[in-house]
Formats: sequence, C-alpha cells, structure tokens
Amino acid sequence: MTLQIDPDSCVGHGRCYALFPELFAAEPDGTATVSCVQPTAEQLGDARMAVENCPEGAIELTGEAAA
Amino acid sequence: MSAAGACPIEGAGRFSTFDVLGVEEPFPILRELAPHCSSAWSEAMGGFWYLTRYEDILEALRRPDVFSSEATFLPRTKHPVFGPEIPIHIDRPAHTEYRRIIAPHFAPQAVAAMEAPIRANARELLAPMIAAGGGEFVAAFAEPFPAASFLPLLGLDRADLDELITLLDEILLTAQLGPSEDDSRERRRDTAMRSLRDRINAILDARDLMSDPPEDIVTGLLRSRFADRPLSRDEILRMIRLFFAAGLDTIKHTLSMSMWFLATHPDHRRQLIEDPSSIPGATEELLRYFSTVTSYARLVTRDIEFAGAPMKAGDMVLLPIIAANRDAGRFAEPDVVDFARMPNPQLGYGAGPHRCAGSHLARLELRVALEEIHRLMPSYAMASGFEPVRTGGQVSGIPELPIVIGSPSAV
Repeated sequence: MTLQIDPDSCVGHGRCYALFPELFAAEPDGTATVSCVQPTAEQLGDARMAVENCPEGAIELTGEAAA
Repeated sequence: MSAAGACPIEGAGRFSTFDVLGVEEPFPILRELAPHCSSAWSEAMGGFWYLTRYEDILEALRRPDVFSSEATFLPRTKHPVFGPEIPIHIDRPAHTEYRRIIAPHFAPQAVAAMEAPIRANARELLAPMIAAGGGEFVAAFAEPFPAASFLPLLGLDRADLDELITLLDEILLTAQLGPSEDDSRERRRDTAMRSLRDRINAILDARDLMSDPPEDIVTGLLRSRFADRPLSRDEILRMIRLFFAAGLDTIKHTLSMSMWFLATHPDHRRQLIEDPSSIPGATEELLRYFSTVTSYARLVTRDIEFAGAPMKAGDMVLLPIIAANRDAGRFAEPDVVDFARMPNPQLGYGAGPHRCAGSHLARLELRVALEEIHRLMPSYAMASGFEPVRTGGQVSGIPELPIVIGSPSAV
C-alpha cells in the first residue's frame, strides 16, 4: 500500500511525524513528507492511525495490502 | 440580521463567550444544541452565528475564502494601536507569504534547539515554590514560564520579565472581561499597547545599529523579504505584537487548567509520574478537553448557507473549538480524559491555513513543564477549600491556583 500526503492540505500540525517518525519527516517549514512510501505489514496499523489522526485529512493510504 | 436559522433551544439566542459556567465545560449550551442545531444565531456581542459540530467547524477553518480572518474576536473591534496582527488577521494571498517568513522560526527543528534553556527556566521557577512547600501556581510558574521561555527569542532578558507580564495583563483586559461601559478597560489596554510598541521599537532601533546582531527571530525578520521587498517596520511590529498575544496567555491557561486537573485526579497524575513518555499524549488530551482557545471568530465574506445557517456577507461567525473537541460524533466518550486517546485529531491549535504558527513551541513548553513538575514535585494538591473559576472570552483559563507541595515520597 502507498502512503501519501496532499501538500495542498498539509498545514504543518506535525502530528504525523511526532507520533510516527518511522513513516513521516518534517520539512524546514514544519509541513510533513512521507519518509516511508510503502509501509510494511507491521507499519500498516501506524499508517492507518496517522490517517485518522490528521486534523486536515491530508494523509492517504491507498492500494492493495501486500499479500 | 434576523434570527433566521432559528434554533428552538432556550438560551441559544443569548449565548456569549463571556458567560462562563464551569471549568470543565464553560459553555454547556453548545452541547445542548449540538444534537438539534448545527448552528444558531445569538444577539449577544454584536450578533453572530455560531456552529456546534466538529465537521462544520473544521470545514469553516479550512475555507478562508468564505470565512475571513480580518476579525477573529467578538465583539468585533478595530485592531487598536498596532493595526491588524500579522499573520493572524491577514487573508490569502498575503497570509501565505507571511507564514512562509515565520514558519522556519517555529518549525520543529528550530524549536528543538530551545529545549535546554526552556527546561532550565522550568527548574528555576519551580525551585522557590517547592522550597516553600507550595504557592500560587499561576503567578509562580504558569505565567512567568512561557514569558521567560519566549523573551530570549526577541533578544529580551529576564530583567524585562515583570514589566512585560504587567503590560500583557493590561492588554488582555478587554479580551478576558469584555468591553467596559465607561471605556476604562479600553483606555488601559491601549496605553499598555503603546508601551509595548515603544519597547518593540526600541529593540528594532538597537538592531539597526548592531554590526553583528544575534541570530534570533528579530534579526531573521529584519532580513526577511516579502516577495521582492524587505518587511517594513510596521509589518515587523505587527508580527511581534502577535507573538506576545498568542504565545503567553495560551500556555499560561493551558498549564493552569492541566495542573488543576492533575491535582484533582491522582490516577491520571500517577501515569505521568510512572511513565513520562505518556506526557506528549497527555498534553494533546488536556488541550482537547479544556480547549484553552475556546473559539475563533471569522467574518463571512459572501452570502452562503453553511451548517444550516443563512449567512450574509458581513456577518460574524464563532467557531467554538471547545464544541468541536467535545463532539461525540468525532471523539468516543468525549468527556473522558484519556492520555492514550488515539486517534486524537483535536483542534486546540486550530486548523487550516491559520493553524497556530507556534504550536510546535507550545507543545515543547507544555511537555517540558509537565516533565519537570512531575519529576521535581510529584506530590501536590489543591489548597483546601479552593474552588476554581474559569475566565471568560475566547482564550480562557483558571487565573489563580493555590497548591500545596508534599515530599516526593508521599505520592
């Protein structure tokens, strides 16, 4: 599955990289980027929680789960 | 404006942010309304719409084209002495450029470098209260801690602390108590604002003469460019004015309410003592629960039907963050304080393009404060007989909090 951030929606709350630094990183302006585009099966729970936790709904997890 | 969008709940038409009814739930009318009305009109504070549900409040915060930040407080007032603060009272496109200038100074990497001095401030301010076996927590810690942590960012030192705190208390008179009938609060506020402006001007004058200025936010702003021109003195004044308005009272009140909660809920406090790694989650949850900035106001820019309300261009609308943060449609058991709550998309720092620019610094200050308090003085309680009150207005907290401190082994 693919983890993405919509740069037009991210305003830099920083909840994702504070809670899940293995998946996200902070840019110099405080907005977030994905550091792990293809989360492992073990990381999917964290990735889904990051999606739920983002106040802007800026994070997306798409595609098929790995078999 | 007519009372259209009629909400039948008794009292809906008289709701005011200055009518505070409780510490944990200052405006119970908001949740009384939520199941029945997604919006209502109040005749108070000059007349305004207000929303009651998370999804609508979030959407309004994220639609600055419809909901302008030209006016963010009720009752609507001009911006005295300084003019509109930058960037909180500015709309796009200029807002985007101002945020680009400010953001690097308050980004996580930048504020991480401030942790050591901020922690030293916390220890220094707690020491006398611990030695005395207690004290008034707001005056001893909640108010001076964010001020002491923030002053160095502007090149000010601790000698200026008391004077600036006094000025800020005067500046906030109308925000906390509302307008005065005889204009006395407004006059005191404006006098204090002029003093603050003189102080900031003096800092900027001194910088102009320095050949080797310190690498701080003031120098950063003086070197910044808005598109293809330098920032003007007026713009820098309006930015620094905002830092004072946004960075001090918010932290003070969040700390006062958090401390009251922890003093009266020993099981929650024990979690922080036994597992300090629970503190970041606790600060998010306490901010959700208390919503220090209870609400933001916006100016409606065009006629629109929103959340069931027939809004007209020029109307004011209040976005109660505290209603969003206690919305049972978004948060399971919203009245339960759960430090491990996940997910917790709380809106205590706002949302949309005006998301609190200082939120990363605020989180750092709150975390460090709770870490040091529970390491150095884990056993504390409210003074006997104390009944807390919560101030009114859109930024609100407990102004006085007498505590007694026991020996650490008594936890």
